[in-house]
Amino acid sequence: MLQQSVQKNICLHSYQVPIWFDFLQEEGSASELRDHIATCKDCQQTLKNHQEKIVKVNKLIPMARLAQNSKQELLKEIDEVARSVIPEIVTPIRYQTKSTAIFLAEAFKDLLRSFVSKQMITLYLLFGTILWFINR
Amino acid sequence: MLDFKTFQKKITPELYSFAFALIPDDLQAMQIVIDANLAIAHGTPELLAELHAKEVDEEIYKKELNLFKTKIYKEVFELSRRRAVQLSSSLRAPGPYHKLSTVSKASLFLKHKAGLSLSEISEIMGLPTSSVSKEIIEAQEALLYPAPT
Repeated sequence: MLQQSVQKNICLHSYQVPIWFDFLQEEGSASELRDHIATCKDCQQTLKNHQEKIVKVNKLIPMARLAQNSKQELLKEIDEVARSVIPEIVTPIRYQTKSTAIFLAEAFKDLLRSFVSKQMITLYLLFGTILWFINR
Repeated sequence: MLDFKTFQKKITPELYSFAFALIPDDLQAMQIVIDANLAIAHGTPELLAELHAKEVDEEIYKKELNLFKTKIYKEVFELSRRRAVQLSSSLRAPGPYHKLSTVSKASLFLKHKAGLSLSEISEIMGLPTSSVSKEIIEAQEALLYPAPT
């Protein structure tokens, strides 16, 4: 009787082992449980059983592979999808940049033109003559 | 830094496998992957343009790549879920896996084949992490010990 109860008296933490293995391990949390598993035979056995179960689960999940020619075909189609959309975004940005550059160039040209216009040259000459008379 | 074309070469077969796991039909699975890309291209074209751009900050690029990965998996999941309902009468595949619901199949695939984290699966499936973990545990049991038909 005692022997039976001892056999049934497994570690309480062993119930948490599958959850730790499936979800908490990846987060790096529950380090106390990880350290406990390293020292507890019950938990180690539960972990081993659970790992075997996961191997069986993995085998039952299908993993279809794409044939090389289908892969090329699919990638080509995806590339075409991207190409059909990207010009719509890139063009306005390029257009905006280009139009800003054109605006600045035109503004600079206007400024330059106004500085060297006939009126301005007349004005420079007038100011120059006035300054010459003052300084004389 | 992994360029976007190389990334797509890597992720496209993975997406196809995911779609095929949910809709066991070669052409349907391929079409789902194309449609998912189309949905992203039209839904968030700026993300696609950023990823295709040559000069992008590495940190921003990594974030955008992860965002794209989650978005594309989400699209594949949503499209497959809708099509699974439409094609339920015509799709027949052997094995206990195909007897599971689309949500169960998706959670198992993303966890065990795609190797995604719980938070990523939760984002893709639009469910809280607690629901996803419950779904995975139940789906594992249902897969190993299928109910007699």
